[in-house]
Amino acid sequence: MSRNPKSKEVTKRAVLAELERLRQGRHARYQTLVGRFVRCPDFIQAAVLIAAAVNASARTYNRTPLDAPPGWLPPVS
Amino acid sequence: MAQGSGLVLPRFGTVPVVQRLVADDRLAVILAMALVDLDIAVPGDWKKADRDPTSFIRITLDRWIGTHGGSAIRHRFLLSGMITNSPSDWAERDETRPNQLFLIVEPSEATCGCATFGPTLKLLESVHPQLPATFFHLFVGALNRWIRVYDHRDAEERAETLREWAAQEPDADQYELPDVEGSIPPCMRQAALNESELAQLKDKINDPLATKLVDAVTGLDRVSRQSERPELDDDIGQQLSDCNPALPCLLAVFAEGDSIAGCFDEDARGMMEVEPEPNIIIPFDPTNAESVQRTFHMFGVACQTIAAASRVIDLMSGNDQWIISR
Repeated sequence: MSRNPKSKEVTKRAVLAELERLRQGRHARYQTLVGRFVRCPDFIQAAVLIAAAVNASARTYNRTPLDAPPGWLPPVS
Repeated sequence: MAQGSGLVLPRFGTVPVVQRLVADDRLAVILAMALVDLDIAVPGDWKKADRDPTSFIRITLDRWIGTHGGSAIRHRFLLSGMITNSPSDWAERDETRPNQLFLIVEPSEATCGCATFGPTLKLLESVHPQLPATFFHLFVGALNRWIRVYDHRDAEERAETLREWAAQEPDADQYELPDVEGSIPPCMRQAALNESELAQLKDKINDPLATKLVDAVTGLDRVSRQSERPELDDDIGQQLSDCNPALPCLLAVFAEGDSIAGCFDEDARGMMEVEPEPNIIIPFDPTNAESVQRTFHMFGVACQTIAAASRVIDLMSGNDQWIISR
């Protein structure tokens, strides 16, 4: 069943309006926490720094000490 | 958590079951707007696409293919069309052109369609000695305007390369080279008729199938000329410089298992060694409505050309085994 041209035009205008909100970043989907995160370079940069710090810290404190070969002197601290 | 209707199992109720987030869909949004504005997209599809611009564009592309001979294309060809921001997977995005997108077409799953010309050329030769070559060149010429066809000329080129390699070997006469020459029907050596000669001849053809074939192939030629593939500039050429040539979308042989098919099988082994460039690359700017319209018009002509070729192959005897989808 075909819809009348007026109804098609109304749908077209509604879709264009919603796309325009998306284009301007005013759409509801950008108002979520994740939505705001991906559109904010400062948030992203902060997350990258934290991830790098966590990785570095894991490398620093997660060492497995090896036994010295027999006959070697103990390390001097 | 919402209360479930079952006795034991809880439900997630209103919690969305799909989470999808695209970090940067600016160009997709702009393209979706242009497609709606130009009446290329159907606004009702926005809901089907779950209000996602990328899905909306994909649905629009599918619909566009469907209205430009999609079912006929799928009958004989396995191709995929997509919109991307790079002309090939290997090419780096050109940051100096932030608004550039590409509509590309390439064979999916590296599968090639096939057409056998032998029986048809025989029938046409009984009508006029120059008709087989005319038919073949009209068919392949029309398709080659848009997609790559592997035919006896590619096979001859391969045979020539092999001959040159073998000539450098001490036991050159021990090599068995493909006899491409012997696979080409003698009628193909005739000159093709020009447009007016073909029009004059058409009125005199008494065989109904030959008439249909000539009508179909002239229709194919006409459709293929309704637009032209865009010239790619040096920057895009540079992006594609490490790619192999485009994969053939159709193999044109004269008989099943002839030396042209043999050469194709041999050539095909190396075609995917390096990423091949797509068959059709249409660069466009989604912020420019005229550019979007021109791109979709071009793509429509390409689809109609491939669909018309599929219908011509349907008329050619000896091609039932090459059907890909019914």
